[in-house]
Amino acid sequence: MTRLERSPREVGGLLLRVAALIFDECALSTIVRPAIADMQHEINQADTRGKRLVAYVRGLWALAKLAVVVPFEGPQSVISGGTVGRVAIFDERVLTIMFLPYAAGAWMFLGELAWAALAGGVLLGVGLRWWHNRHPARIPAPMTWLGSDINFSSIPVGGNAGGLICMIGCAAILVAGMPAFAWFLAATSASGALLAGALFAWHGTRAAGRHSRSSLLGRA
Amino acid sequence: MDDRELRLPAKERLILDLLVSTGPLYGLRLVELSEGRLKRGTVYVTLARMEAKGYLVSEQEPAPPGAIGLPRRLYRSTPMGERVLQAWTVMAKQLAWEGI
Repeated sequence: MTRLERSPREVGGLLLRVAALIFDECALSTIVRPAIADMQHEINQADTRGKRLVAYVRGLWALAKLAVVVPFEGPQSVISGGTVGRVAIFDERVLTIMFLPYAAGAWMFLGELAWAALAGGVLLGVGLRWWHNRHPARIPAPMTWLGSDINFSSIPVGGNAGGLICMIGCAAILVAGMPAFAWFLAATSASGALLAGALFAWHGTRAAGRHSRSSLLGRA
Repeated sequence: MDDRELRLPAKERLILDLLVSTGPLYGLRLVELSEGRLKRGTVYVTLARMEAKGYLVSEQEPAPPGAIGLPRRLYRSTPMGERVLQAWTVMAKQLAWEGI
């Protein structure tokens, strides 16, 4: 029996087991299970092998996208539509664009080792998510989202001074271990700073423009 | 009030519009009706966010005997979601009327 001739329940069961390693229960129940259920239904409704294959591939692609998008969805972004969540939801291509130059740079320096690094990174990410779900740094309220975070000695590290220290430390370790990366690191840091500055400026301009143009909001 | 709270993102507006005009829908059906404006890879995240905001509610379909696979989730708009959509539509018309 080929994989596509298995029942939709079997396909969904395997995907659910994999998803349980990556997502927490809240994400599983509100996002992943509905996606898998719709995929199973679509596969079940397909009357030809070709349509089943298309439904299967589309479903897998959708779940792969979810694996990228959901970790960016913390409690704040879910409730208020925060910046990170909006970037992930409304333009996930930004993430791909950010990843491609990094992958190209890594390929130049590491060659085929880049694939191993990519696979290792994915496995490490899954492992970290698995550990974080079972040993959260803070006790989650029932049915609230567990956002991904890094913390040192219970100090949350995010887009703040702690995050900056963390990144500088990572860069220092990288350069100490692989001096050939120094120029690559300098170039990507400069590009990242320029891009961040441009994004801040763009968002600032848009926010200011909205307030000045909108008379209703201006009166509120 | 935070500026973000004043906005109803286009995809949320579209989902509310579809749910109000068509009635309760499954995630995949929303994607089909949106004619490419909603993607199946991200629609469930948007739906979960809208549920957290109180714009819609969801329930699992009752599984018929002998059904194959997981029960699907059916989404319906809440009165609050409908009011938000209505308010947003009125505001958009007002802004358009002022030539903005």
